[in-house]
Amino acid sequence: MSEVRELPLVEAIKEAYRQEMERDERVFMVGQDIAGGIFPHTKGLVEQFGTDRIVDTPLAEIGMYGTAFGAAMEGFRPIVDFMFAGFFLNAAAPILAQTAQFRFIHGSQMSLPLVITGACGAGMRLGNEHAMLVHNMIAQVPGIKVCMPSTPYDAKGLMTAAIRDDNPVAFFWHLGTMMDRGPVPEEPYVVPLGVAEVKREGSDVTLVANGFQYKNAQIVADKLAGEISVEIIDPRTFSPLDIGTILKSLEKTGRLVVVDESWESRSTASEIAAQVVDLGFDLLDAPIRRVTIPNIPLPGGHMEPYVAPNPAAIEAAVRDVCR
Amino acid sequence: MATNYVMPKLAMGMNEGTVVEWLVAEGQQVERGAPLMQVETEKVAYDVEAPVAGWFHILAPAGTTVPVESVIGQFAGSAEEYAQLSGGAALPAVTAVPTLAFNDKLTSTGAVMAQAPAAPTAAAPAASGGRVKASPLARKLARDRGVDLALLRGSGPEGRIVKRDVLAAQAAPATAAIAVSAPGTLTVKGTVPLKGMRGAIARRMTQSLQTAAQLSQFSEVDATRLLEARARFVANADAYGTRVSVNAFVVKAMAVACQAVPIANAGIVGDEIVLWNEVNVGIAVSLPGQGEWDSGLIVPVLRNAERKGLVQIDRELRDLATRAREGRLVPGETEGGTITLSPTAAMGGEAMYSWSTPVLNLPQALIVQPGMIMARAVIHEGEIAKRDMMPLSITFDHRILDGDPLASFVVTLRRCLQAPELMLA
Repeated sequence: MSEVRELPLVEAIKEAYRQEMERDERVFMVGQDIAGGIFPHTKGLVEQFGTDRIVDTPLAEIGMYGTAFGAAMEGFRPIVDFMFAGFFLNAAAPILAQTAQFRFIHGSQMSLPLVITGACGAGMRLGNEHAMLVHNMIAQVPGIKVCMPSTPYDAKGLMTAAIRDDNPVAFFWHLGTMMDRGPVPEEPYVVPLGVAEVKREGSDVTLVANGFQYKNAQIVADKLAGEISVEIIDPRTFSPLDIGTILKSLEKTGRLVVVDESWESRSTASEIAAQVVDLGFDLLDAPIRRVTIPNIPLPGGHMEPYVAPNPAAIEAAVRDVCR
Repeated sequence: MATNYVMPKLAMGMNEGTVVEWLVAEGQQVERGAPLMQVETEKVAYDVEAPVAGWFHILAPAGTTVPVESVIGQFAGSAEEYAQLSGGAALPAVTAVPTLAFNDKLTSTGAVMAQAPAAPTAAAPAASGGRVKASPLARKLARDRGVDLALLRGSGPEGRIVKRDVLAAQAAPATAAIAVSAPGTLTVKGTVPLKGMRGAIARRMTQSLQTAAQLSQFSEVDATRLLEARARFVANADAYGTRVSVNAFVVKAMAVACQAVPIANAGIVGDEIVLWNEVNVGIAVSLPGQGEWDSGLIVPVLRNAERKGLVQIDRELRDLATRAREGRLVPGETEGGTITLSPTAAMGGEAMYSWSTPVLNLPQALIVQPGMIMARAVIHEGEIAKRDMMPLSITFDHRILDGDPLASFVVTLRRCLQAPELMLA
């Protein structure tokens, strides 16, 4: 048996695009600079699939998204790439109001099998739409699935699942993970949406983290090893949320820290905390701590590291619940 | 900065307290939580712990009685500050110590007993403002395993009781004796939480034995004529509506004896002995326990026995006992007793002639325990005769009465029981 090769996360995403477009000719991409390639995740696709299936657009999000929306209604399976996830907001009405409700409004007779994607995340000091994570804004609305990979393996598996899903799925990836290398099987596979994963076993505290923050969580767990045994859970999908895996972990640890690179209020961290108190009150041996961006605008430039979650903040929270 | 120490309000009804004894010396450096003083309230004596650390300056000497919230001492923050305080220098800035809520950082004598002795210092309940601070998981574990959270000291942030505290409490040996005898060889058959009725009994019994000067006195009563008299009452049971019991005779006899010896119908209230006009007889009724392993006990009160006849006493006895067993006593029916009757347990149906040392039901001066009446060979009118004899055990509080009045009480009681018609007097 040959060793599984390692790929950077963006290459894993591209492999999912390529394999799904080869498998199903209804799949195509529409987005900003996907033929040119400011990010490497689409580089070379236009040569293979041509401009009919790699549709480059100007900075016109509503038109770009409208193309995908209409195509999906006609039976295609478009992938809409906003380049930076925060610019989905320019198409917020068709996404949050119309796409999310489409299937409900049509009595489950019609669905929109499209994928919304884009890069996001603090770390590059880009500020605002270029850096903000928008997963919670979309996850708040029922009708769109939302996921984000933490590893190259999950990136390919989640993207494949997103493309094959008959419902709209938002797939975001964090800039801080794009060049992370990890094992990625060559053959197509699916990481099911709505299923979290215990990525590190531990017994003292459950640490929920995803994307770039998943890497920070591992740094903290490594540092505390021998002192505090940290169990790391990657939710992988924010909507629908797999609370069961978190509750199961809490049966062992009794303590919970949720890292969410998002504003504190109404975040996935808040949602997980609320569900745990609701469904697992008796499992808690300490208050739940959230490590998030404080409720202030996300600054670009040099102040960014002071507000984004980081290993020091995560470690402090873990120590706090383990007092 | 020095911290004032005030007479704590240890119970809702506490208005004043007496410093029985300072458990620290003047000027001694005291750790927070260390036993500080013994305080006596209207109801009970407590050991109180130091709420803060510091060099303690006594302001109210032992024996002083002061209203609650009065300043009775000061904690100096340093030895120098103590020198200033004790030297009578102008008082430096003083902060008030937070008022202790009921149950906050105090240990009643009862709680000491209920405490797992694993903690050698009298650990304080973790209560603050009446609410025990515990994590949800700790609460669930405590509930599942029958651990009383109120008896634990929390090791979590701000004294919160967390999982490890409950597990540690459960792992702690139930008694000191077990602790020294190789605990590894023992396995737990079951546990009974020292709370609810069990906790109340434990507290009250310990408090009684640790507070009162108890002395027990044993005698025998020739109950032959009592049984004859009772037989005549029983023969008329239809008319009376009840089969008058031996206990009814004992209650009546106690009432007569109390009236003859008033100091036997008394109790200690505050700093004085109070003698009562009414003879309210508490009747110990055994109950099933709260769980598989324990038993229970409650003492409803039959009021004004001195004014009631045998039939009425018997009816009320039966009514009280029945309702006590069915849990239908109404509030107040277990209060106001002035003396207690503790009938000997049925001994599982086994006839057994025995005495015991009943424990006083504070603040009462006396408790009477008649044993099972059995035929015995005794010297009766100069002959060996078979007589129905009743062993009689009485415990009294030597703080309230001495041997002479006790002897008078016993003599009157025995006379009434041996010749029941005398109770008509």
